[in-house]
Amino acid sequence: MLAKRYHSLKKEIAQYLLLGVPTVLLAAYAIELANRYLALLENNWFRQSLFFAVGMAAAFSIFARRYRFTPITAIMLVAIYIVRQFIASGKVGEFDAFFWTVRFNTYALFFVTGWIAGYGFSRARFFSIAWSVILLAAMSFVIATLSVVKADMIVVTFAPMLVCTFYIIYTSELIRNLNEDDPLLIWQILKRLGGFALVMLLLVLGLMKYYKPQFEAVEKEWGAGKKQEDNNNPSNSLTRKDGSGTTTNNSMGLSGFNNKANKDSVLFVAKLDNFFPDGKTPNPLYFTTDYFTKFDSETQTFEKDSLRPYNDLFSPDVSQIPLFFTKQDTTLLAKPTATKFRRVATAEVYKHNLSARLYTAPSTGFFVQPVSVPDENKDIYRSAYRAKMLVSELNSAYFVYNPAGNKDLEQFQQQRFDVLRKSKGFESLPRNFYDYYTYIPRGYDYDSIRALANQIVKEKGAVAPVDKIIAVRDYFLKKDENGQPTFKYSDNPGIPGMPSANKLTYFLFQNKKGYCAYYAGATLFMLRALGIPSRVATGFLTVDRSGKNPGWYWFYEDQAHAWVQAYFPEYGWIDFDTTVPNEDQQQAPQPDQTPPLTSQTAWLVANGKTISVDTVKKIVTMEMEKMLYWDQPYDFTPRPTFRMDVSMAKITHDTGQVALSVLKPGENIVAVSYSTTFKDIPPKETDSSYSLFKKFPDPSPIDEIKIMLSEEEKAALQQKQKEEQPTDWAKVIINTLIVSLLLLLIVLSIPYITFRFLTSKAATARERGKQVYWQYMAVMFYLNQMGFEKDQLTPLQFARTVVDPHFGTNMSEFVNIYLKAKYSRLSLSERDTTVAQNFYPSVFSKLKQQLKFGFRFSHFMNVKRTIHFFSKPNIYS
Amino acid sequence: METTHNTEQALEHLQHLIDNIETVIRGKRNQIKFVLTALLAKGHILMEDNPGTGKTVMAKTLAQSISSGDAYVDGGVSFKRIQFTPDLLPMDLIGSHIFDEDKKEFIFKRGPLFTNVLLADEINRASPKVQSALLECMAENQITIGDTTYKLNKLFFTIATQNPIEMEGTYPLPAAQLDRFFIKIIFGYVDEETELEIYRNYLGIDNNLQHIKQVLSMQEILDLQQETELVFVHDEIVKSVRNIVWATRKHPEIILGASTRSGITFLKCLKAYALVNGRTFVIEDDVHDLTVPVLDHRLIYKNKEARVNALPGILKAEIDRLHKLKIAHA
Repeated sequence: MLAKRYHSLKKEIAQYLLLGVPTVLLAAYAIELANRYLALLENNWFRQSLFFAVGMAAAFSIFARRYRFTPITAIMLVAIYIVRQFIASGKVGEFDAFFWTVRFNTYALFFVTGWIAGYGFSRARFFSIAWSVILLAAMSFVIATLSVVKADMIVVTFAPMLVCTFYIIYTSELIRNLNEDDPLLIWQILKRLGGFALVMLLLVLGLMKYYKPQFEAVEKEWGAGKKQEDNNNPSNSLTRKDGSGTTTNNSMGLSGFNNKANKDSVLFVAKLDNFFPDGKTPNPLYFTTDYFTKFDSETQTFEKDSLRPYNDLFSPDVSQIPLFFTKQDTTLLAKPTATKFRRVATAEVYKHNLSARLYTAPSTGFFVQPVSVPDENKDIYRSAYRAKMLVSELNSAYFVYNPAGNKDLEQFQQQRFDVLRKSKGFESLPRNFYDYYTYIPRGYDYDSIRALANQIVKEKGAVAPVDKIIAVRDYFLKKDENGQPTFKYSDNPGIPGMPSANKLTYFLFQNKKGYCAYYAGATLFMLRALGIPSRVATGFLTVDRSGKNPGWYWFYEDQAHAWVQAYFPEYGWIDFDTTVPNEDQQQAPQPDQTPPLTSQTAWLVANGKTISVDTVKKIVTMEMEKMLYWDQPYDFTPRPTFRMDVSMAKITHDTGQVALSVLKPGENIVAVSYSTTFKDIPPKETDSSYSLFKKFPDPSPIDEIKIMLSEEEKAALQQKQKEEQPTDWAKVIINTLIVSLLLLLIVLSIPYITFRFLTSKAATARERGKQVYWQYMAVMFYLNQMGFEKDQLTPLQFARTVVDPHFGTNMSEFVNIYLKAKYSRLSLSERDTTVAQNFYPSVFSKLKQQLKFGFRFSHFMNVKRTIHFFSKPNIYS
Repeated sequence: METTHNTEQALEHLQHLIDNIETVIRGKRNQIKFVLTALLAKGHILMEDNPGTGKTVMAKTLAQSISSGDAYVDGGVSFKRIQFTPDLLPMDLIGSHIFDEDKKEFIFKRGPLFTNVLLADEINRASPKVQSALLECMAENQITIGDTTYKLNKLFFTIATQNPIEMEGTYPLPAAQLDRFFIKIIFGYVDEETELEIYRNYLGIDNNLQHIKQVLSMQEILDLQQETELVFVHDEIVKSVRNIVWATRKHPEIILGASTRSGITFLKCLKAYALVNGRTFVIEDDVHDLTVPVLDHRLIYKNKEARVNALPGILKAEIDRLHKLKIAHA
């Protein structure tokens, strides 16, 4: 303590260099970040950091000289106040004065912050810890506000913070305990800091490496969780990431902005065989993933409703369906909600960044079959599926994106409007259906929307539902007297000044800016107000940009979209998109690239158990269990033997392509044939599975054999998939608790382990002197744990004045023997040995008799004492 | 060093001596040990405390228990006491030439210095001139007057006492002269219990002083002084002496650190102290007990606080180092 009484230049310099410079750098970084978000700071981070640094330096130099904090700070504050008043009165003009005082206040704030930090570092012992906590809290806050959480970012932001925290605590302690008389002072400091840096580096790298998967899990969780929270969240993109790629959101809020950070990312490529009646002009359809039918007026969020009546959503988890197997929803075919102008279309979807789980298809899907991606495209497309859906011939993406001058299309538009005008009234609809899809929440805001809708329709004189919809579309496309559009597209429309204000009315009547969710939402309510059953569909808008490959469409992330579907009796749900074109951002359209090689149609897909494999003749026989022929499923009982010509076949396993020899009898396989042989044998309605089977050539040409996973492999895979599933936080917490408990237990048992180590050493020591040494150590350690510290006493004094009177032991004699063994060249005499033997094991039982178990137990766990026992004393304390 | 029969006996006698002295001076076992340490290390001791704490009695008892009462008879030990006063002159100590009427010549009348045990009471009350005269004798063990050099006795042991320096009418000893004293102890009051016992029994104690017996002969003391040199000092103990001495030189609160001569004295004292404690080897307790008595009066501190804290701090670190040493040999 004495050595610290007077001012020391070395210590001060060390403070400047080792604590001041890193802290100022860090603060500068933080201030720079703050400047990005706070307009008040005027993007003047360099000067603000400078003020911080000056404040800190001033505090260092003043407080290192042992001045008192309170009076000096008081004087400083008064000075700041006076200067501030002077500026306020001196500057001409009200605005100037305000401007200058604000600026001065900002600088003063940074100066004072630096000042307090400097004071803390040079005086308050635990300030470094407090400071680190503040830093960590600030960083956590920054991360929590980030819109896109990425594992890398967590690492990048937290790692330096962690290192910094440790660094500050370590360095301030180092400086505090500096022995400045050490001739090798600088070398000592460098050595310690170097060691520290190394340890930190290893620690952080290790942590990061070890926890990387967890971070990624957090990233996913966070990404998903944030979107689900509520619409107060400042970021609200239409897409999010799930475990295997991009997918659409579960709800659609109306605040914040539409994040299009990854707009250049290709999600998927689709081939859709939907053409206009001329058979050449492709008719793009919006790809639907889900419907929002309910609106939560509390949170102003559109929500999915699994209980919606007449649910025609087909949404299987594609990743769970084995390759070439199909999943169908036949109820949709059996009970179609619409009958007129309907036909079945097929689509092939090749996923790039799109989530493997997601199923997206235009209109009403009912069939999905995962297909293999052609080898040439495997590096781009991760998975693919074939989908079938019922589409309306009246539907088209060309509702807003009407290619000007295309006569055929304009004609088509008119035709379909004419058809829809003839639609039956909604009276024919079931009551619950109609009520559900025309529901509007009550309240002033929705009344005003209703009034607006009625007014629009009235102005146009529209009667038929489709004309009403066109009237609403035209309302959004209307231009004002200056030829400027009244409604504009904006990815970041801003929010109303009042937090609780209705965002839709704000959009419709005041702001008139928004992205698709706003237009879709507003349209939905207007249509519902007009009594037209409608819902919001989400998915991807389809743009036909390439004449080269008709029917192929590219979907980028910025094509995630929301629009309105209106229901027409007999015709079903028809897409209507009222979102106005984005005029500000007429970027070059994303080029459509070369489409993936079309995989051939799998005419025959059969699965069963292999019976024999002839690698020479390339013939495989199997027991046919099931078969998918021309997309029609057939079952076999009993199972016929199917001979297959595999000379052209590609054999694949879960791991990739393999040789035929790998295939063993008894394994389950799926055989696929694209051969035209089968194309020529179309199934008839009357055909049974066996009658079809008899028509097959023997051996049948097979193009692909997939070896199915055995039960164990499946289990292993499932295990793996389980791991990939979202983190179970309860489990994480329990595991963390268990691990920390174990750690605690280990830490608490350190004293006991040490004691056991010492006693075993004493028991196994061969030489007498060594034995006495370990015995002595064991006894001293035990006493130390029990709270009898030797402290400043010599061993003999300790034994004589503390232990022996207290416990009635004979320790001083033993210590004499120990000292004799330690410091003399004399060998221990017989008498010494007897004394030691009498003393050593019995001392513990004596101690145990006199100390209660609870006392012993609680004291033994005191790790601090253990550390104290082995640590070096501070010379000057 | 092998413990010979003689040594064992001498050690036993030493213990007797301590016990013997303790019959008179109660509760001062440690101080007695220090005095004997200085004696065996062929050095001198300085005792400092307020009057009436038993310094003089201690010196007297010691002298008496090693002398037969008759000086110069069968190896007995002579004892002289000088009360230092401001008007004391050097010749009062050394002696002087006086004219012998019968022989018609100047003969040298030996002063009280020519003795074995000298009690220099209240040494800091004499003038510096007298002090230096005494201290020179102590250092060189001889007196030179004119052309003649008079050797002092082979066994010459000074017990000096001094009053605390703050008291009036004192001439503080200069640092260089303090260095001549191997050990300086602060006598201190006895504890409450012992004091009570003394009051109850002061007659008996007085009686004890009258009838104190000789337990060690001069020869035995000289032998023990020889033995002292043979006490084994572990290399780590030597190192710790070096460390302590160095630490006093580097310590920020100490202006003047210990000299190399101090270190040698320290070692000598350590050996003697071990012997006094009945050991033939030095242990860390010896270092602990002796550091302050041997070194404290040689150091010059920056302030009073340093006087209290600096040396114990150094000692603590060194004792801890010694304590944590793993045993070097079996």
